[in-house]
Amino acid sequence: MAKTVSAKTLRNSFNQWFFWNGCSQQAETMLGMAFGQSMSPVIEELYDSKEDRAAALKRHITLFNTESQVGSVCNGIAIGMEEQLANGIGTPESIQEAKVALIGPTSAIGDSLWVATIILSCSP
Amino acid sequence: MSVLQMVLIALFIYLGASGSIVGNTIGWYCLGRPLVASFIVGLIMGDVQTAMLVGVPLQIAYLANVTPGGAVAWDLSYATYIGTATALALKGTVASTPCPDRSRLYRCRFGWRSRRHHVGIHYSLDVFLNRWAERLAEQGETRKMWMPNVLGGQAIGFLARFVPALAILAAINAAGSSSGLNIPGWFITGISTFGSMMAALGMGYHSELPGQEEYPLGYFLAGFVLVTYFGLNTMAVAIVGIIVAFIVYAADNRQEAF
Repeated sequence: MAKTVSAKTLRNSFNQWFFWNGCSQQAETMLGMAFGQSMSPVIEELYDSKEDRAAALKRHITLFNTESQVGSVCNGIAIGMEEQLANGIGTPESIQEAKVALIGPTSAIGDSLWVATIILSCSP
Repeated sequence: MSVLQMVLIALFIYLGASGSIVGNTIGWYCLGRPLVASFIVGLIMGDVQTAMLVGVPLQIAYLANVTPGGAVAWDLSYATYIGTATALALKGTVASTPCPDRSRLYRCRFGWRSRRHHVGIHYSLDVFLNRWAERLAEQGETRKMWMPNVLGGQAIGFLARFVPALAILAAINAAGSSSGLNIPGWFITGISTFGSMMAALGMGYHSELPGQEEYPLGYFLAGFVLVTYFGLNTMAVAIVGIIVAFIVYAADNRQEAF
């Protein structure tokens, strides 16, 4: 039977990212720990063995940084790819590469569209 | 300021800082904005009107406050909350200049100081939390991944924001209650002049934002002239601005179609 991520887990993952994405932002992995935390409910649901969970967690606490609101797209894509990987499609490296590739575009769109335009238009 | 007021303001400084427990969407991007901050300080201190007078020029000065990658993570909440609270606490103490000018003095000082404070403490101390997260990841502890991020990160964040904020507020309160606060007039004039330029600096920075390389400065100047020299209502000019934007947008699209 194919493994899927339930809607409840998705909501859980979203909440953990939405509220705590910047909690431990620092100079080494930026938002890496927060990304790992938001992926942890998904990893728990998809993988049963301790080794698989450890490997999945380790690839999600590496350097990651984006504009956290528009950048939550990255979480969605990473969850989708993890789901496929749990069903034997794709490689762990491809998830890493997709994440790193999305850092630039989502930051650029998020910072200029959301932070510099929409928030500005609403705040004064 | 009473102790309760100081604690409440310091608590909001912590919540409105980047990466607080309520998330950046609610904290940094909402509670951290100068106008919101001054409104909250006004509610806490019981003088919303003066607080908003302080907040409006500050909002313009920080108009272009975009912090990509946290690279220029100035803790805006320090400047705005403490700046407004200082203006309200010292209102009437320094009698030589009108209130908005005086508040600018404090805003400038705290704004520049807080920027270094955040980058230094929070960004450096949180690095050690990575080792904790790595250990948990190696053990596959999915249920404990929140601990280094939320528990560790916020413990450091709280210490780095709430405690110094409370200390500064207490110092300001002490200065406000002592009758011998004597700031020379030339100093207030000088710092007020710099403070007045901050709004222009904010507009200038804003024109340099990514994606706005062709910022139409002409439109901005036209609006400025209409309001300042022609004495027209700001809201009416803003609506005319929206109409012009629609026309320009439509004209641009038509050009691309051909």
